[in-house]
Amino acid sequence: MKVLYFWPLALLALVPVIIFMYLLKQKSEKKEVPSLFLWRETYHNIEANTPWEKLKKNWLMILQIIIFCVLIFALMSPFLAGCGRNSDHVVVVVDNSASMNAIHDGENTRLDKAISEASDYVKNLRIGTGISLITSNDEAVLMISSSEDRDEVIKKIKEIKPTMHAGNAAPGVEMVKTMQSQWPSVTTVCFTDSNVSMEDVDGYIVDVYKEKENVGINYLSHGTSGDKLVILAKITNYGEKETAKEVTLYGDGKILTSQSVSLAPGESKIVYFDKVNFLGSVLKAELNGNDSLMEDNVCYDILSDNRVVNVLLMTEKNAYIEKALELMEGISVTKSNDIASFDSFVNQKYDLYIFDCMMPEHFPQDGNVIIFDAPNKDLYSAKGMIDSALVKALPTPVTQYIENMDFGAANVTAYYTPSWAEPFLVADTEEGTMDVAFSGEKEGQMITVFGFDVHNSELPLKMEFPLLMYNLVNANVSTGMLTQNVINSGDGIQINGKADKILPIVTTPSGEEIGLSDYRMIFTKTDDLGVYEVTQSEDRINGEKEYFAVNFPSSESFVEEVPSQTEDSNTSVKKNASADLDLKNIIIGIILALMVAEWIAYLRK
Amino acid sequence: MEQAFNSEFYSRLRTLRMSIALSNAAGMSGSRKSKAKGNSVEFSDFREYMLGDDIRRIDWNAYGRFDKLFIKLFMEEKEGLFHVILDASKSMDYGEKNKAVAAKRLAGALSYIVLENGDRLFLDIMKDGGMTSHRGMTGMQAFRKTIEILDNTPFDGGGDFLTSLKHGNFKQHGMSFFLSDGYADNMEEVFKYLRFCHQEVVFFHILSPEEIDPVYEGNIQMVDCETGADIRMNMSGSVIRNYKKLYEEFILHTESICKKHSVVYIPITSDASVDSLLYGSLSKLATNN
Repeated sequence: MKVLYFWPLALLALVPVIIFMYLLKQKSEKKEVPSLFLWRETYHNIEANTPWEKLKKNWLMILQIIIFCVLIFALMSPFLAGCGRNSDHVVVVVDNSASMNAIHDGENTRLDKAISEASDYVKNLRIGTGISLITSNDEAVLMISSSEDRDEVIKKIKEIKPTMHAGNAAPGVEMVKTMQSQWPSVTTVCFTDSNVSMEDVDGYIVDVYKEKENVGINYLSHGTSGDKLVILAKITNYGEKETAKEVTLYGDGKILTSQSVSLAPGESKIVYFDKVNFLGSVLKAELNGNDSLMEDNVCYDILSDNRVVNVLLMTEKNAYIEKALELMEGISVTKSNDIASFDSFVNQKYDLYIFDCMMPEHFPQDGNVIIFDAPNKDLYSAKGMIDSALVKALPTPVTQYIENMDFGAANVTAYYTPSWAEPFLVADTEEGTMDVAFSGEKEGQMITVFGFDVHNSELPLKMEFPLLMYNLVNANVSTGMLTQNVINSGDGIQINGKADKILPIVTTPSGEEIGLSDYRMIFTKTDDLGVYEVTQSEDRINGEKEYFAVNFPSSESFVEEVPSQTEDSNTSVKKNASADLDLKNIIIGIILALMVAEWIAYLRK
Repeated sequence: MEQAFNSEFYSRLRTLRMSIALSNAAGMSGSRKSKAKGNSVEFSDFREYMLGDDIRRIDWNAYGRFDKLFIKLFMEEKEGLFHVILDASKSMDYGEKNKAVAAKRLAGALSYIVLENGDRLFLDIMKDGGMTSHRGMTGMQAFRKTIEILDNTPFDGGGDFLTSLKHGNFKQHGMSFFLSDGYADNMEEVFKYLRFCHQEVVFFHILSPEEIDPVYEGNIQMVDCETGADIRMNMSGSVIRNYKKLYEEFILHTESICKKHSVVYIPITSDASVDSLLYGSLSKLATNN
């Protein structure tokens, strides 16, 4: 048996006060005896015990002292120690993954239950226990480390928000494993609905899982059939009862169609919507009715033209260009040095061809082209050769942000810039300024030409080189800002803004506008389910808009292995954190019984 | 206090006939057979004539048969001298069944027996180290006076038995009935003194039931009724047990010193009935006879 508090022991100092008051209260009855002859000897015999003898038979006082002591004991919050309360340090791991949003009891979710249990657990911890708090879903977050302020920890626990992220308490337990060496004794208590292995961790799981009926949409997808859409949705019944649901399909918020589906326990079905006439962007499927997890009753899909840009790089060996292309998201680079078989590549219809010091026999008729130091009499003509030159950038869209760049280059070909093109690099020579690189559109085909081999220049060594390549690729092909349109909550999504426009802005389903700090970054604030809008423009009104949808992670609709089913001998599972026997109520019962006894004794006296 | 000499007492007293043995009567001539040979009519023994014997006592019939002179010896009859020594200290005035009442009844009964046997009664009342002696009473006419004295004796003051006894008249051989609760450290000295004074002693040890089995509870301030001294005690079970143990030791000790000094020890409880007092207690006296 353990106690939580020791301060009530100080109240024991009041026990002598009770005794003293009783001694004061005591009145001796005067009795005349024939002689003290025998009594005096009796008195001497018991003299050593006199202070206690005086108190003997004073049942009321003894009862009151007992009641007082028991009350002190109750204030010490005794309990039969279970797991954890003896440790100097306790780590509370609260699973706030998407599955914790399922209803546990009444209106309360599993997370509500976990927060309630965790708060009670922390409240009952011994004073001086160091408490750390970790939330865990797809990743663990240390919210508080080694705090002895239980109120602060409880406040933080109550501030834990549900997430729609896939995951469980495992990342939290992993974090504990890395942290626990700093404490001499540590107990970990995981409040979760999913089983996690507690191997190498001293602690237990508080199981907040409760079996409830749930039907969810696993995914929503679309294809085309002529000019119509074919849409499919996968529906799964996770419950133990047969159920019928209505699946309603929305297009940009308007009802398109609906279908009924009947599902046996554990059954999954694909629901098809044929020949849907919809030209908008956002598709949404929704199940009718309520179940334990409402979040997985809605699923989104986005209709988008965005696709990966395919680039063909024809080069003997040019690590500079390859590296610069690798840095760009949304493009797929194919490399070849076999210019002879170029025609076979052309059939695959690349979006962009890059010829590095080589030129095919047949110039591609579609797709855009970037040429490094290769002649093409049909398209442009050389003005002359420059052995070495200082090349400077001209202010054009291609050289945006790098207008002040200059570098040295050797064996540079100067060109007569065609009428359809605009020079963006020039070289200063004795004969004047000569164009050494130009870019322009000829018959719907963007063509960019460099008059030097990058190996013979300082350009790859300049920090502006990747940006120049990025600008060129963007000028030649349109990649779109998004490479994905549907993700799960908590996943990041790459947003590739155009460098020639203002920074992209993401509008969340709740209407919050989040300005990105960079043109290209992984956007991770995908906690809310729904459709996000990404905009980028110069005036931010008529700009480019793209959408991506954040869906509930279907893996969270159903808990594969609940804690109570664990067969892991290292993992102890409890139904509630306060499973330790709290003796306070029992002791209060004893106090009441003693008070009744005192009352009876008083009446009899 | 209950009346000591009530009708029940007198009705029982009439039937009380008892002879108390007294080995050497030393008083004046009386009705008690003395071991001394004297002039009474009661034949005792023969012995050969010796020079100086009264020739009137020669048994001539015996001379005729044995041709020797024999003297007839006769018992000398003398009075027995009996002291009834009553402890009239305050300690005797105690108990619901008062020790003083029992003591008075016992003293009255003893007086009756003594006077009825024709012996001489000395009624000695001890108090505060002194002694009031009503001496030399004989004959049943003295019984009324004895009862009056006893009835009017107050039980107050202290008790120093040895000092009191030294004021008494114990010059002749006799028997002393010592009636007391015996609360004194020097009881052995008391008995020694009485034996020194040629007294055969009977100690009537009178105690009340409250002293034998006290029923005190709680915190008690006990006041010695004689000295006014007090002690405070909480009457727990252990205290009572301790007292009872000491009481038993006290009785055994008293009995042993009585035995040591050939004192007849007769314990009396003050709640004893008149019958029990007169026949029970005094019969022990007769048994001793």
